[in-house]
Amino acid sequence: MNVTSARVAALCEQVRHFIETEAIPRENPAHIHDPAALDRTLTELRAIAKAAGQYLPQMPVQHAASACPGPSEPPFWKKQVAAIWGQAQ
Amino acid sequence: MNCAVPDQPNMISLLHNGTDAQKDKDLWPLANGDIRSCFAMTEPHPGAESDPSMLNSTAVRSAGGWIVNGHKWFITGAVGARFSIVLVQTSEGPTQFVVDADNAGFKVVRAIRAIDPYAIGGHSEIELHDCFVPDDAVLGEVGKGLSYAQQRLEPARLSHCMRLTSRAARALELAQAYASERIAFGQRLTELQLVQAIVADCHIDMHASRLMTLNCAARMDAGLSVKTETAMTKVFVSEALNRVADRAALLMGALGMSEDAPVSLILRELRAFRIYDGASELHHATLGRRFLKISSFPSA
Repeated sequence: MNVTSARVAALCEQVRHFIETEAIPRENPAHIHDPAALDRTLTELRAIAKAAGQYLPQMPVQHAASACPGPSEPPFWKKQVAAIWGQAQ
Repeated sequence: MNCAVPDQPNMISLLHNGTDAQKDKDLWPLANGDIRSCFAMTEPHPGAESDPSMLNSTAVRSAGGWIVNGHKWFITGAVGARFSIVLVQTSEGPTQFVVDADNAGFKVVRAIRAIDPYAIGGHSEIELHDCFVPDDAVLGEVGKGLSYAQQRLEPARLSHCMRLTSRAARALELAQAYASERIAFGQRLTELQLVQAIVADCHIDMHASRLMTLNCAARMDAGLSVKTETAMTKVFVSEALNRVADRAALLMGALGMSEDAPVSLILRELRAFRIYDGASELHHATLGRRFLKISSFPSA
């Protein structure tokens, strides 16, 4: 993978935007050592990240190469592969 | 984004070693963010910590399954986890089991307050008492638990590096913004050459950290071994990011020491990073032995 590609640069910018507009505003010192509060925030953020196509960015690259990892993977997995990596590379 | 430990390496483990049934039950809900998980390896003295061969927790075969007994602690993510991948000793060698958190023999005793403030699911102490799990709870093959642990550690270390590089970058941005506004001795802090040098050193550390992480990730994507590279990268990045966060706090003075600014909280996270997933000193020792082709520590 070419880490200087426009595609990767765009992904980095998207992630930065997500962190600045969604994650940092939810950071709250009152949540320190409060797993329940952190879980609520996590649930909110995951929904937003999924909708923005920025979920599971560590998707194994071999799945990106095929863009269709196999018959057993559920639809959301394939959708996130496409969101992160685009079509077969 | 579901790319942090322990769920991220647990997904890797289940993807590579799980059965179709384990994937359906645990991997896909985990990947979809419906549930969380944890990985239980570390034990109180005299059990496994930096040296995983010291596993004291055990599993013995029973009719239709296994009986697991053990004591684990500093298990990240345990509070609220739906299942735990547990590493224990068996007569056939270290083995990983997928244990549901609602198993009657599995108990989160307490959440331990650690230095890092925003750990999802905390860091907990766990007891496994006559915990029966069926045969299909074994992850992968019996006796291969340590090699599977190594398999998960490499991407996990990179995940730490990526996430915490961003945390350090934020600390640096906050410190630069502060230094650009703050006036002392008749000039802005950024007009002081010593401050300029500190900021430059921070960016050099950040750049080197990103390059090492990217190189390691590229090797991993290419299917090359990263056993040595992830250890070197983890040591360098954790130490470099600590320097960045420490300098950022320095630039902000008393504010940098307080919880009024996120920098002090980031500094706490980064200090922990030098310990988690293998302390820098442990990696140094391991790397040195590897480069010098010395097989192991002398026996105690």
